[in-house]
Amino acid sequence: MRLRRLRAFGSWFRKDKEDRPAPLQEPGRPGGGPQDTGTGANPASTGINLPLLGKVAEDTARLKDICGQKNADIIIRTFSLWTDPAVDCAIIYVEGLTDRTTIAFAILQPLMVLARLTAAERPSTSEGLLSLVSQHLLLGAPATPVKTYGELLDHILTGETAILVDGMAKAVAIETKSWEHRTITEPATEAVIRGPREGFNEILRMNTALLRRRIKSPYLRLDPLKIGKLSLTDVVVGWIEGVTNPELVEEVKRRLGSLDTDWIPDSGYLEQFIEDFPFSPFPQFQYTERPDRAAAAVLEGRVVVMVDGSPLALIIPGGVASYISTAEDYYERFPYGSLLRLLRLFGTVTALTLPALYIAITTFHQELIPTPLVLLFTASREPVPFPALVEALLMIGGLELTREAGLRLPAPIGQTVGIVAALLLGQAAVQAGLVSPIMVIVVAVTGLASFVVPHYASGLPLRWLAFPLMFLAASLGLFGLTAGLLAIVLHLAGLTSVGLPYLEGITRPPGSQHDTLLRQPLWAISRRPAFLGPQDQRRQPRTVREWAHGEEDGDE
Amino acid sequence: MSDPRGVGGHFDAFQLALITAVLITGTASLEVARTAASEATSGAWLGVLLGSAVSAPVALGLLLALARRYPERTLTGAARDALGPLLGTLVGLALVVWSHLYLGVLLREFTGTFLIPFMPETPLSAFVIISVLLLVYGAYQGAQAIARATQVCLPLIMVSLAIILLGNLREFNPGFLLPLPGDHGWPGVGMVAIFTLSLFAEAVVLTSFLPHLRHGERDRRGLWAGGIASGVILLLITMIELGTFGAPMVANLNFPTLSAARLVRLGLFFERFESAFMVVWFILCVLKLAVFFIFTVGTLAELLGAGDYRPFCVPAGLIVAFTVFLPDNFVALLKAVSSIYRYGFLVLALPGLVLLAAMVRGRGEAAPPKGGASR
Repeated sequence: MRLRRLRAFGSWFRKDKEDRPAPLQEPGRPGGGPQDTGTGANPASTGINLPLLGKVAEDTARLKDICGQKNADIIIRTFSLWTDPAVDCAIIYVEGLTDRTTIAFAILQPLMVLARLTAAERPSTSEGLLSLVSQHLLLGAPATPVKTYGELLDHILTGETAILVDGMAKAVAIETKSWEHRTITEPATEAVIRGPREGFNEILRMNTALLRRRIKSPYLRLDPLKIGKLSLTDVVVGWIEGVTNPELVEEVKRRLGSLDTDWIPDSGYLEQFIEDFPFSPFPQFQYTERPDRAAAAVLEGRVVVMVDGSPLALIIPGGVASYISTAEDYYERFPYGSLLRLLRLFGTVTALTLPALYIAITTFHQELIPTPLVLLFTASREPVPFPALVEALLMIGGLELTREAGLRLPAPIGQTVGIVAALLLGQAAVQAGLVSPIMVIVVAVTGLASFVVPHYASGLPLRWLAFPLMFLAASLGLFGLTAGLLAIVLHLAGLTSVGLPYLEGITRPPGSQHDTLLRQPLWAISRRPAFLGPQDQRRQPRTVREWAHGEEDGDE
Repeated sequence: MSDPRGVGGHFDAFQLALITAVLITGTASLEVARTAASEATSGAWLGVLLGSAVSAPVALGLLLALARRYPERTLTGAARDALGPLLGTLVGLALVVWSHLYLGVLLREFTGTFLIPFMPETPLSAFVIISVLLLVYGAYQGAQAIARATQVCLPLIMVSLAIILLGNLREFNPGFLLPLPGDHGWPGVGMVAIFTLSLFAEAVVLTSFLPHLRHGERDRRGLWAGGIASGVILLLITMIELGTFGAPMVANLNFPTLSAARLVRLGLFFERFESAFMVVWFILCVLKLAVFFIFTVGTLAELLGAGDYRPFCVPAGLIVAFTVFLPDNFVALLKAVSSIYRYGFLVLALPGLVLLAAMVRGRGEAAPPKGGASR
């Protein structure tokens, strides 16, 4: 039924689309003009796929038509090539995306000052001119010939500089990218005590370099894509030939390639566009701002997607492991890595269930509490006029407010707000008799536990699902709480990330879990996760510590 | 993307073993000792032991023989092929009615178990509605999801079982396990063995998942492992409860496992674990009944020629919710449960009939096994 309704909606939508009036076309403009989105990625693509004319005056005029006569940042500068007779030239670039020094010394100076060609030396054909400009005059980065207005705009909008020369049927694009950006800093959300301190930033090229620096294999593939009809955002899909399951790569590329949207400002947008279950509260991909973590994921057989302008790379597929694993688990010796994971698991479960458990036990199942403790609970709750549920809602609501306020404020003020709120919510509320001290402890432990979850997006469902669990616990005690938890487990069990089971990490048969709840020693993790279907399952022989095995065969 | 290892679409052997164990022991673990003790007194554990030893080969062997002959079909599909469309459809209908009644009675039993001792003021309908919602949701998520959820809950189940078994050792008196074969002699032991066979007969539900099995030898081992684990769990529970309370008391306790959980103490601080134990038992029951529910709606969908069983989940869930209220009171419920134990094994006649017909008519010859020596 739902499918039929969707189909009906789809046909209505298509009909509606067909009935729309065609976009207005400005007279004299090639093609449909900038507002004609057509079917291409570039909104101006329909009308700008015409070839360049090879005449600087006409080509620059057309470019001004396409980009707007008074476009503030697209610079068209005309000049003459120092030949006899002089040849008209123009460079086109985007102010702010390019390096002026490079333009001056690698482009303008050679063309305007160093050329010095006589009439006899000057090539008479278009190809000759192209060869002269691109292979003899220009310094620095390699030049790319460009045939059409569209290609030219694609190049300059990514920070390159295009050169038009009279009589040359093709333009030449030169790499001149340079813009203000944040330097590489320590990852703010994935700090470690031990391990690299580099984090991704907003520059895609820098991020790919950070990844490449860690995986110097020629088999590391960083496939470029452009997504967003208007934003033309550069996206890179990272994987390793011969390791990553090609089906996984194809599926990721298929989903990314099919996106029909105008803007991708961040990897968070992509995540929401390509996830399997958009209405699930759980994040289906992991993200990281750590290059080492992205590299580890790629080497495990996963796919990494990086988006220009986003310091967070998506790791595909995601899974439940994101609730407990951090980069540091691997840098510390394995017993502590494993213990910390168990601690985080405990934190995850506590953040989700502790308030509901407290409500269920104090309301319905007091027999579970040892007698001395139940007396203590009763005494502390005696002056409180509310039931445990209301108490918990008040306190956890306050905690969430404090957390949100602290996050959105500058760091020093945020800390102050946290302290003030803690004082108000804790001490004052208890003194006023609005909540019991036990509840303050419960909420404080819940708050602390939620901070243990290393992945912010994974912590969000835990924080918010705690509320329905509290209501269930208040209505049906442990039965309600268990029913809620079971529903969550069933939901997670049915969840997939690019078609792969979300819980696969922890539901593999015992014996094949090397790196899930517990982390085995690095030398014992000899295989990549089988559920990813890697082409090469083996990471290393079991005798990777060959020195400890003397002359033993290094094979498994 | 297509699943590279087939995990998304097929059970692996470990999951199959878990599902089998949950199916056989899920609801029975709470009261197998009472039913067995009332029939065979101190010989109850012997009945469970013999019953498991005989039932596992009979019930699981029957399923494996059927799976070998019809590796890609459910029981209803196999019945239609072996017995013809009319008789095959009747077999399917019988299965639907059986599983619906079973679901209703078991659901009433376990919601009642929660309600009576723990939350007597809460209306039964609240428990039933939530339980049915979970069953429907579990069925929507599919058998794979239930298998994975069972894996997630496994540590909890194991720890709870271990706490009950070990926590009662202090009170355990081996003398309560004697004399053998008990006050009612071998007929009593035989009756308990039949009860046990009835529990194993519930594995008929697994025929719904035959198309989801594919690892040949591994599946076979998984099924056997699940059967053996079930037998061991039932035997341990029966022995511990008999040894703790003695047969006369066990026979008179409504939920002897619950009483056994009540006796567990850790130090002199933690006691009265029965609520926590009930939580685990609730999980077990929901998982078991969800598998049952998938069988019910899957068979219904197959009978009606529907490709997907999910549209049937809500209507079938409503029917189950109403079936829950069929027993008028708790005594009627206990009688119904007793009947299930007494005559439940008869359901094995259906796959037996199908297998016999297939053998006689030479239908559904075993296809070459995929990825293993044999299925």
